[in-house]
Amino acid sequence: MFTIFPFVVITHGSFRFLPVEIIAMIFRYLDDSSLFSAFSSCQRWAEICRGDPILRRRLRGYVKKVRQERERVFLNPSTGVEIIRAEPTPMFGRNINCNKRIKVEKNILPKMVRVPKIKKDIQGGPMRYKNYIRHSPYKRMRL
Amino acid sequence: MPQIKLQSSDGETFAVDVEIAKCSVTIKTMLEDLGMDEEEEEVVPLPNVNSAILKKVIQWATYHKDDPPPPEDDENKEKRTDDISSWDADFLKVDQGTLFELILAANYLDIKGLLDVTCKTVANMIKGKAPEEIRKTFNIKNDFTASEEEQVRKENEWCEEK
Repeated sequence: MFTIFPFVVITHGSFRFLPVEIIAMIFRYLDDSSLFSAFSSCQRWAEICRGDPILRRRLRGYVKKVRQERERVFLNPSTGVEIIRAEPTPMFGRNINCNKRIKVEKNILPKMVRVPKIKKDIQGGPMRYKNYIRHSPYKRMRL
Repeated sequence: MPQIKLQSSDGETFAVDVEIAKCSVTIKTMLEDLGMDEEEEEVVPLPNVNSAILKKVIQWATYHKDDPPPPEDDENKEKRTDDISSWDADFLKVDQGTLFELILAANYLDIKGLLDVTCKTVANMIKGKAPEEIRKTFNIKNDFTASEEEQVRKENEWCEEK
């Protein structure tokens, strides 16, 4: 039988045979970043993490924290991301700013567009709020 | 001291003190519900546990028979995994297959202490590893699509740079 199916080895000593509750119990011992690694290992583990209320809450909190950290780094002028050009950018057929390793942007704080004064239009109501435009902080990250 | 006989899945019989056998809640409940006859030599069949694993479980239970019952844990708190005693750490220096079978046996026999310590050992094997290393350690196939994995990788980059 083993010569016919040499790859079929019947053993219960594998992660596949553990019940879902036990895997969830093991995952509850993990710290947040290890839990995220386990979550991104395979579909079954991801399903288990999504299915368990405590693990789901912790993963959500962790991803939220990472996102906030990313935004803090991007938007804080003191820690502002320094972007250094590695290759010249070909643009419109010629290379502009083709000095390599030139500092392109230091900090990428969003800048407010000057807000136009609220004028009264003919009907007499104030202009709509759409004049208040904010540049997206990611717009100036051109390389 | 009264003894009880436990029979593993492959037919081997182990004579164990009742006090030691009672650290398994499954056996304890069974004895309480059915009562114990002093004269009769009843054998308790354990069809989910083989003899090698049952031997290990009895060894663990014999060492831990005087332990106080483990405290009820708070589920919301992140649990510690570094409080494994040195005897347990030596006891669990086994291959992965045996470790997982011990977990299954502890779950079936409802031995909380053994289940906790084995789960902690597995958690320590996962801790601090990247997904690729985890897959390698436990021989798991990566079944994510490329785009999903790319997204995960991006998230991870930010965790590592901090």
